[in-house]
Amino acid sequence: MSRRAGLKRRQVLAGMVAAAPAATLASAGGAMAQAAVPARAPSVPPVPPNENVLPPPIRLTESRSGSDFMVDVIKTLDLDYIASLPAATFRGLQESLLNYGMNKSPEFILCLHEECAIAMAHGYAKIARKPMACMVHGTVGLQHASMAIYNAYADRAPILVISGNMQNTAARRPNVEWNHAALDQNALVRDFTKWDAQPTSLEATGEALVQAYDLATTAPMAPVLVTIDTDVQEDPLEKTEEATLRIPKLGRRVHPQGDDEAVRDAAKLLVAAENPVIYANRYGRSERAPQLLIQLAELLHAPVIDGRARMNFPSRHKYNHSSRREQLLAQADVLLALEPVELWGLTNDVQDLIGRPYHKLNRRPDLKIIHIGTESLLVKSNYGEVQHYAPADLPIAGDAEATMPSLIEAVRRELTPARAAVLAARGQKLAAFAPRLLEQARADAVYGWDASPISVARTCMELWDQIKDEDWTMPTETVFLSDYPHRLWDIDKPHQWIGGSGAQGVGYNAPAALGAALANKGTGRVTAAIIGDGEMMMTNTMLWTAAHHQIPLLALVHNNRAYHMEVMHTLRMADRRSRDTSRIHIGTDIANPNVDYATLAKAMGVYGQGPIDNPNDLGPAIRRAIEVVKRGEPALIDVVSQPR
Amino acid sequence: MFTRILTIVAAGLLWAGVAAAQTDAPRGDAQAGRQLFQAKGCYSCHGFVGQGSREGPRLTPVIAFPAFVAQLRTPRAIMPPYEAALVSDKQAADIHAYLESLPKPPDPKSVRLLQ
Repeated sequence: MSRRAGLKRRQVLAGMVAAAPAATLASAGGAMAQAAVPARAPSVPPVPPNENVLPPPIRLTESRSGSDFMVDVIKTLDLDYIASLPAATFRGLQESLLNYGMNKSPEFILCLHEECAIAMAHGYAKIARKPMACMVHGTVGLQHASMAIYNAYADRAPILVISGNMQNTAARRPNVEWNHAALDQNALVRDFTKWDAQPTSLEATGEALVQAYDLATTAPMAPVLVTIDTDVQEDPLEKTEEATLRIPKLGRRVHPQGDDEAVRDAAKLLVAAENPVIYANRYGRSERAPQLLIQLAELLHAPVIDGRARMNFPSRHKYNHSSRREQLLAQADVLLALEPVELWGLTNDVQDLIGRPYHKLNRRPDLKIIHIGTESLLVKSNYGEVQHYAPADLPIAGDAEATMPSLIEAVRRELTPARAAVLAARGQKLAAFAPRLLEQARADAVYGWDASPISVARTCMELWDQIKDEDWTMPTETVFLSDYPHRLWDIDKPHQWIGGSGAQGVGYNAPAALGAALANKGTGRVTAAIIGDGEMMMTNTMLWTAAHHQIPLLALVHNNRAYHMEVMHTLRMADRRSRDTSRIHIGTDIANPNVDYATLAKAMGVYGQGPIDNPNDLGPAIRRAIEVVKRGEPALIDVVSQPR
Repeated sequence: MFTRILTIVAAGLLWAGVAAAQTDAPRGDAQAGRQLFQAKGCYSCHGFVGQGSREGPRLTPVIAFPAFVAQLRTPRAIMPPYEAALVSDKQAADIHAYLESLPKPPDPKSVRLLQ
């Protein structure tokens, strides 16, 4: 707090220059003023305190403030948007962003809940390939934001979170400022941020913001938090002090790459393998990732199983055999796992039965596992997202995408013409099998095709029919859609699919979709999301933000009128205990009354349609909604749906 | 020729066995089965019309009743068990009848959106 002490010295001097009567200074009821009086005006007799008379201010205005310098720093970072709710602990910075920074780079995006702001930034980062900033209020705002920060951490998505805190207890006004301040508020999310700082001076704040951005955007990426002191934001910035401030220069982003020798060994194993399998999960970090993986798969003529935490591999590529996961893994003699997140689960299971029995999955005893990933480079103990310890035969710590060019080159060097011919023959068999996977998906999709509530396969294909000839993004999870988008759609571009929440914290999908739509804004791309009703209810204020900022998002509500995962969990317990299954809907169904999502959307200024329960009405509804979205506005359709 | 006759006899015996088992099965009421399919929670994994999902396989065309009951009582994989106290044989027959009553889906080749 040395700067604070210095600042108060400047304030007092300014007050003296302004010829504030010492006697009036002495009349101040505040502790600071009382403490300052004896040193400065010992000869002036004290005036009796009068509670109804406010002490005259030491200084009424300032031309430049600490938060202006913070804006200078923020503008050196590549930040287009800052999502936030207004809050007192960062009022200085907010005003500086608006008036000094002129609300450009970053532009203020108003959210109505901190969880929405963070999740929006989470979705944005995976399309824009760079972070957004978020400002959250001291203590209470950070508490609201915490689950979304956890999701982003588990999903390794970069977000620059800024919070405020009045660290100087002597300067806190009574009541609210105390409730919205903390000794170490970053502790709340320290277990699931990559780095955090609580600088107490302006110089340190500038450094912390740049360092935070640097760390957040270097793999393994993750949210970072800088809590900026309220006083440091609001204190006047004198020219003499400003001249001493420096902004660290942000260098080029370079991601950690796997060890060369280990990569050569991996190439030898892969080229020699009889049945190699590639598993990619959180692999696709940038636009080039799928192309690199195509090169590797086509060199090895090896099948790829997509874990879908990112867009890793085209859904209809002849070597995408994700639907044959268990069959392929059972035959594999070499498994290349790229950012698998959960390596243990590729060979082991714990069954959801009484006693939770361990189950060794059917794998070859000679299976060799090559693991390339950054999982071991960002490890914290408290929360379980690290999961089981799963030693690989060849663990290569490094960003899988960054390592891919050297792995491809090493494979090329290992391949002899004779070996290449053998591998090509394997590829022909795989390619011949691929069309059957699509045919099977189509054969599955027709069951329940005309049902009401509408089947998820029908919903997915009605949407696909309307977007397939557009440039599009589907930014929401497909697990609850029985994977139909991945089984039936032609997903071949990196921006078409961005994976899920990371930690499965409910509330991600709607605002993350909005963040993706914000990143796509102005590109002509249609962002079309299918969002569960439980998800929508958790964070539905994102609809207002969509309308307010004119962010074109098409949101289809997958309205199964329940927290359906929990319906299944409760049912499993009732079945196991042979108890009444009719009560499982208590505490799980979102019904009676049914939520009218179209009206909810309209109330927030968003075009809304539904509820739609006739599958034949869905296509025309989507067509109308896309017209709205193409005008640059958001739209919502309430689709009364089958559970999964 | 002899092998062919044996195959026909074996098939006939098998059919007779299945037919006997089906004869022993309680007579199912499809309408009651429809309600039970929801009340007992079957729909939650298999969908309201048994179309299947990521959580549970498709149930149509429905398997023979003895196999259906066996799966219900002592399930394969991780499906939760439904003991007789929870779903009686009669109720199981009703659910079975409901699944049998469901219309055949369209040919995928006839569905424009799936082309």
